[in-house]
Amino acid sequence: MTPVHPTDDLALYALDALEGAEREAVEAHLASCPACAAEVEEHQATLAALATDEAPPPAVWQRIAAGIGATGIPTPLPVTSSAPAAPPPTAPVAAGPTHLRPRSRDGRPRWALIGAVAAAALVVGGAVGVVLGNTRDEPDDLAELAAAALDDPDAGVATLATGDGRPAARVVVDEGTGYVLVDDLPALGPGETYQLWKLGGDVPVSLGVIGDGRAGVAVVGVPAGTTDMALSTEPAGGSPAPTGDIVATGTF
Amino acid sequence: MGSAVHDGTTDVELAAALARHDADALAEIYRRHGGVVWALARRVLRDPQRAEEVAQTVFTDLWAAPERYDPARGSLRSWLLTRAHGRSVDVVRSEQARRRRDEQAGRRDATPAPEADVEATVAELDLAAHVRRALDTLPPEERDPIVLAWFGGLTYRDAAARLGQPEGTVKSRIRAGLGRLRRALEAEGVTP
Repeated sequence: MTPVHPTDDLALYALDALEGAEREAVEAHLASCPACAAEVEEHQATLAALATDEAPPPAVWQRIAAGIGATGIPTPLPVTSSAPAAPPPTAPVAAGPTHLRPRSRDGRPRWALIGAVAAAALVVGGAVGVVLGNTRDEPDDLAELAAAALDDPDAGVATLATGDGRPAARVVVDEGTGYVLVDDLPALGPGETYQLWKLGGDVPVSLGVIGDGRAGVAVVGVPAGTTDMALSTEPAGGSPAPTGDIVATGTF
Repeated sequence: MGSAVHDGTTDVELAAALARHDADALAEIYRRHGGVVWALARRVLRDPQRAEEVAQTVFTDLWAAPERYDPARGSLRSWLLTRAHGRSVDVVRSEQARRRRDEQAGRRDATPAPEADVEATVAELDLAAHVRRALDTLPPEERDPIVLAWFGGLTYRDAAARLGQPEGTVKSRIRAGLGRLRRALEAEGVTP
């Protein structure tokens, strides 16, 4: 018998302890029952109070900032961090763009190298040097994460090609995280950025700002159900809707 | 040492600023709540790298669709933690599914299931003292399925199987336990 208000299930739902049809039944009920929705929120608040606060690795913010095209914002020091703030390290000398896409003899990207060079190349952006300085010892930089995603047989991969069919970049989605791997894109000027869009809806939806193409890898948010994508050039910081030329398109 | 732009701004104001693509607001939200989001993901996933991915996704999702957080329905911190938990559990469950496939395929290197000892699980969670005390006020039969579900990412059915108890019993104990936990946290001076 299903109770009018699925009281026990509300607690299970708040714990993410329901699956499948049971979960969907609660969701359907919550959509039309403010009292039960409030009870779930109360359970969620209780569980939130169990949270322990720890300083996350600097790479987390670095990737968030890269994903939203805000690499100029240094890693925010978590409230809990008891360590005094380190002085910002001097930005290393930027690598030239000619070294951006090292390839081994068989034509496969050499990811470890790309990682190192991409990290250096990011510094061209300016204040991001502070962020990178905090993460010099982080072994898992973006390029390595993207390479791991690329190796995962469960990951989705789409190649973005230019109008004449030349591969320009790849989009890899693994476990909900999307990476854009720049294969062959011209570097943009300081006032411009590449931006990735989801097509197929009423209007293109931004999946993330990629930067000027010098960094080998960027993080994007690719929602489930994304099939067609386009890459455009936009003013630095990105646009709410595409304004520039489409430079490449691709499909999962 | 917050962002100078947003010191003293409330969470609700910060969330509203995201609609204006204010990256400094996201930085301040991250400064306030990035630690708990990361720590929860790490506990559920037991894998720092995956926890980083989850934490990143939680904040980039907030950036992409800030309107999905409704201040009328609870605190931003609670909302972020709920998202982090849901994401983490998704990862845990897909790992479990993969493990099951591997086992069916007869692969020898299948990862063993997580430790069933709830006491040990609680000990290694390294929880804040007041949280430990609040959890300790629960009878083990209420505490254990909550710990297995919240920190272990188990469904209530899996938790019941793990504990060797009937599913219906575990269900009602979880609800009773959450209510008791809330009162215990309030007694510890935490208002959930």
